Amino acid sequence: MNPAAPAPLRPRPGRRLTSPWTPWLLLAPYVLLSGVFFVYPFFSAMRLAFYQTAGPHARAWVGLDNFRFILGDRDFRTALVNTVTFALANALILLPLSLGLALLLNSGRDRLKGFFRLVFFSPNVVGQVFVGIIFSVIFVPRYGLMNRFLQDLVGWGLETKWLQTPAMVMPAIIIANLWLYAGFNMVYFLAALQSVDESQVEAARIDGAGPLQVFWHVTLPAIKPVAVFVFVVSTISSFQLFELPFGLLQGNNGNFKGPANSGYTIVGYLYDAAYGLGDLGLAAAVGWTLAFVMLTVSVAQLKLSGTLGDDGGSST
Amino acid sequence: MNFPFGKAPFFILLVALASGLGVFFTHRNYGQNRPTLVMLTAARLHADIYLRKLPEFERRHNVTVDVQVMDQFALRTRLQAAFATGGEVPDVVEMPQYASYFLRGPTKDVGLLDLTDWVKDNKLQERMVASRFSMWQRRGVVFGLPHDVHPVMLAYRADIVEDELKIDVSKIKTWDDFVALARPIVTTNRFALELSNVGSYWLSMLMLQRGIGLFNAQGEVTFDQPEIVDVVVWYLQQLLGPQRIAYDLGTNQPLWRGMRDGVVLFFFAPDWRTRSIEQYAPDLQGKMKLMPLPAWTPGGRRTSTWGATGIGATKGSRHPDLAKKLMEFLYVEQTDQGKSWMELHILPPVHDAWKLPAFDTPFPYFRNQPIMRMYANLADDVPPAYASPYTPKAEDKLNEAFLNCAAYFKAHGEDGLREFVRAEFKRQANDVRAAIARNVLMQQ
Repeated sequence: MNPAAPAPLRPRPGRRLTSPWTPWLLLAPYVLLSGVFFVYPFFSAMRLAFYQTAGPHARAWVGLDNFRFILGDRDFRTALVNTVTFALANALILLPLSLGLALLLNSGRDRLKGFFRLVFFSPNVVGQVFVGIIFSVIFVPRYGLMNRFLQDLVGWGLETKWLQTPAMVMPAIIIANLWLYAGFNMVYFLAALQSVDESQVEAARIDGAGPLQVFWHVTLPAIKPVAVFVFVVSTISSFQLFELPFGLLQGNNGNFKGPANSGYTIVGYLYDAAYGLGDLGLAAAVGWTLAFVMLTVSVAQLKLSGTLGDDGGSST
Repeated sequence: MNFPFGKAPFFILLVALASGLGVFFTHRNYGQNRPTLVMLTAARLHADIYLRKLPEFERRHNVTVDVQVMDQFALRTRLQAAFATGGEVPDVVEMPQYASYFLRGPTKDVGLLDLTDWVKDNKLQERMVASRFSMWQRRGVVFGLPHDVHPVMLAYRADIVEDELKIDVSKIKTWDDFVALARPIVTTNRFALELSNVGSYWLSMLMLQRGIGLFNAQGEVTFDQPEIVDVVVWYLQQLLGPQRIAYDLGTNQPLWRGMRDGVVLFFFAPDWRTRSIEQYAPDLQGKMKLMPLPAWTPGGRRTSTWGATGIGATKGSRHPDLAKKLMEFLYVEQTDQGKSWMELHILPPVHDAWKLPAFDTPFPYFRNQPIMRMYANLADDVPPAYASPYTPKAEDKLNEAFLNCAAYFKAHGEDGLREFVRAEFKRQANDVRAAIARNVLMQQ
């Protein structure tokens, strides 16, 4: 026996737990907590979606009427369009930007990497509500930083009413979101880039591949599992957008939906159903509809990227 | 020391235990020393005044009262949650704006105490401005007392309008008069009136002046009645038309800055806004004056209303009778000869209070006009603004309709505008009607 090796673990003296109830006893805390906080609310919300509620105690069975109402409601369609617009902007602007930042950092000097990683990631630490409130000040017409910056840069924009003009509200939300999440997603991409096999990159270069070809044929396939993961998770969180427009638009006459519902999102609609109209049944139905939409979109994304059914291993 | 799961979980557990014990003992301590009444308000300024007044109430009834201040939004959502779950509630709650969020479902399920009989027995509707109860009742059941009247006047830069431009504002009786006098003085850097680009409170206030509320006393949607077309078309002409007289300065600091710079000469001034301008534009001391709103038609109403606060008692109160006494003490009794109202620049809805000499005090900021007396003279003409559980939805729909009309006006001018406005407001009002119609519980 090696004297340096630790001594083998010996069963401690005392009563052994041999009762048939032992596994159940050990599982009990988990089962209890899951039951109370996950399973019961899950089925309760499912049941609630078929009721109409008002006030503290009153409820009435309405069958599928909540779903019928949602699908026919113009406000829900507006919220859906806004949410999808935001999700598309996320996919087309935010993720490429995050990847670009990650590529820049990955090719930079090691000493500065940590510093810039911190700089880009730090907005995420403060959270959506705080960022919303900060940007509601930044977007103030005439005196706000954004308009001053635009005026100095291109000689236009001093009077732009970002949060009062329906067409400008979604761009404002997207800009605030870029600042908030570009660094967050960058960290994922950076981690993936750092695990790319350097020998393959080197081999491609020796074979005469340019930087773009290396990126397209070596780097991108290597980071595909992470990219797909970030894409799906980012899309799911886009569909859950709520706190950012809430913080951003709340100061605008106290209406978090923005003018003409231009900042209204599906979760905003859900919140409004629950706390604005006091109808928890309608809110539950919105929740299930949202879950269905997110599931559909996520499956479609996985299918399109060829990841569905994959074991998640490297495809290089 | 050995940490089999690492140090982090140990410290998390330690913090959880410490905070848990802290909460437990604080709560137990509070439970043992709970004051007789707990009152919640969102207005710190109000709370400061109540804290000055309360010792007398406490002495009179040999009780203790705790006033807690909470953010307006937190107050609403926490109270909603407490009503819904049967959690601990304050005895008395001061509610900003409409009580609509608390008036859903069958009347028996509303978490606020029904004050109808008490108000009737104490003749409070006669002693106070009757129209102000509209915001704190549902279908005739009263759930709160009004704190204020908030009549609206026009505040203007007297140094420019009267001294420099030699305009005699006493000749302005109607909005047509106002527009006729305003058009010649408008330049690219100077506008006569502040109006919001998004409609919002400004539109609602002008509608109320015209007699158009979001709802009527029966809770029916009324914001698409025919007169709305006149108000909206007028609004759009003045804000966006080729001969515009109005400009959107925004609210708070940008507005006061704009008033200081003379970008806008007249702004809508409910009583509470006179305090704001005095506070944020002190250099306009002696340069401002007030005048009644121009009427929509000759001899018509010369005021409107903007904003509201009210007070109610909760059904969960342990001392409901004492809670009612507290509400009456704070809102109806005049224990400090009107000093607190003057401090807030808010006109109370209590008729007797207006007889106090304090309300004749001249305000140097407004060229020594007795502005509270001027507001009091208009107070009984303030239109009712009926609350409904659907008020927030109706406000959203109203703004949506307005913005759609503004977009139409920008694209097509006045061609077909009236028809468009009529149809658009009808469409949006019907959305609210549909939402109300599907609420089977409201009918109970």
